[in-house]
Amino acid sequence: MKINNIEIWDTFAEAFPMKCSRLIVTAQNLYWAKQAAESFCGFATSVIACGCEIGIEKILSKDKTPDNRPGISILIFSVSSKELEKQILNRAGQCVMTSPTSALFSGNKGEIKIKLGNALRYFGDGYQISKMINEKRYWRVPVMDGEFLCEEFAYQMQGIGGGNFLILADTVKNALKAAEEAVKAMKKIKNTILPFPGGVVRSGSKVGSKYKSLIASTNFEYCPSIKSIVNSKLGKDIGAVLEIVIDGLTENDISNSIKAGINAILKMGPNTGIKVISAGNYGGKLGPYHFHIRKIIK
Amino acid sequence: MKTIELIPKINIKKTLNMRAFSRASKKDFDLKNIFDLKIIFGGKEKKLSEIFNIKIISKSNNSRDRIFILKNTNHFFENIGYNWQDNLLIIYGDVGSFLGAKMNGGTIELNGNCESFTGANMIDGKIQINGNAMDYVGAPLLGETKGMLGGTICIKGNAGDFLANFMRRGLILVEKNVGLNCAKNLIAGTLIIKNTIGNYLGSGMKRGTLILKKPPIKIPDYLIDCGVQELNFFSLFSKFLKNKKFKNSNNILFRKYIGDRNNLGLGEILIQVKNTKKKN
Repeated sequence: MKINNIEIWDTFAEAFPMKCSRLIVTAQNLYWAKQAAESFCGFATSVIACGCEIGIEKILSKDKTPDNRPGISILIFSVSSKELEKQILNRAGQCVMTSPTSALFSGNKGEIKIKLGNALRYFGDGYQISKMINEKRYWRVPVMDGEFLCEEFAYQMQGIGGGNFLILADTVKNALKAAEEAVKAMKKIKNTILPFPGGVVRSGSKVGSKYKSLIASTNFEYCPSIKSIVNSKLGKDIGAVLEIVIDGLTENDISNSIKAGINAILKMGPNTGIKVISAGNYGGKLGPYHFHIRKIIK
Repeated sequence: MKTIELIPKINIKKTLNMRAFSRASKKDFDLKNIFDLKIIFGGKEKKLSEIFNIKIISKSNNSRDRIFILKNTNHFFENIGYNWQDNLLIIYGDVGSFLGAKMNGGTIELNGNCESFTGANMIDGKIQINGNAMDYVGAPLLGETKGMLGGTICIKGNAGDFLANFMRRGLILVEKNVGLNCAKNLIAGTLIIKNTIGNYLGSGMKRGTLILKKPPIKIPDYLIDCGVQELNFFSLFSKFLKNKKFKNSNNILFRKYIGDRNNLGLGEILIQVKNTKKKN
């Protein structure tokens, strides 16, 4: 399958079930809401070493937030409920509560509760106040710029992590340009995040390593600098590969995101230096969700 | 859905204790039994059907909800909605004391005035009073140590003295004026008063929030001024009240007082500040 001189390989992305939650950070203005949200999203690119994957889902206008202030919707994914709870609580306490004028709310409903204000309230040292509004409890913790307002609980929901596709190009410059176009389109897709820096990852990994202590190592099949000495998937004309990883709430959300990303690259035209669009998988044995890229872009 | 209409057969001029009528509010109550509910009229036990003309009107949809309509009431009607559980009760006329006392769910709408102890020991649900209420709204019943434990009371008119005395949880809104000793011994919960408030507010207050749209004539000494602050939790309240069709401003600037400091209380009195500039 070839579109606009770009070959679409007949392969699929393999993804995994994850636990996730949506949080809403608000502040007096969008600048400070972003500061708090970006701080919360720091060091959260991959569950391999960060414990979770986090990204900004969308910017919320005043009328879409609980306290009528500008806000940011964040999605956080982790492999276990316990880790998700730990990551949310640590980050809420250290990154959001510390940020001037911030407030933190749950962005979804669910059966499984994750402590938020319920635990952070103790920072108030006895001066904290709770308010029950519309059957939800909020905690008001006194801080140096006034009060930190925080919903009592966040809620866990099911998500999918590890949706992806690969951009194989002649040069790094062209690969990056295509990745940037794809990310721009993919950021508009609701219920998804792109957890890596700028939405793009250059160090795609495989499971395991020759070193026993490592659980993941470089995906040498896609490394152009060693393609002549390993069993590489790269042809002579490929000089760079970039990957875009997507976490989302449902299979449909991830499919929509992959579709938007690949279509954005295809729309760039035939002479972009992009040679192939592929996807990363583990032979289909590990993850129950398979995103066949040819089917998706049809 | 079923509508149950009750109109007194006789002119009620003696105390009518409607406490047992609340059994009909339970979802599993068989409406066939409503006629035989025992209520106390002038100290004597009577069947509900002896005092009221009861009409049960079924509507076509399959909803199991029930609306009880009580008409021509007066201040002799006591304990209406006592321990009310589910469903909606609409009352046309004034009522006596203990309206919605120990109420545990559902909604009571009163189109008239009520006497004392409205919502006393209330646990959940909503009482909407489209008139005035007398003393001890949301307070404990005699012999109890804690007042209202949850739910919402909205008063369109005035409220008397000792509003929210010993209140423990929930929300009380008063559109007009409130009498003396408001929020006395308040344990927790929220009160919003839109007009004037009498003296001795918040005495013995432990925690809880009293939100005033207008400053009181005198701030008692036991309340300590903490300056003007932006409190964005109030925007959540504003949104909630707007959804309940209560007019409310989005202004989140308040002068905050904490008290009663005579007993190391941490209750807060928030007085809305009109000026948009922060003052201290």
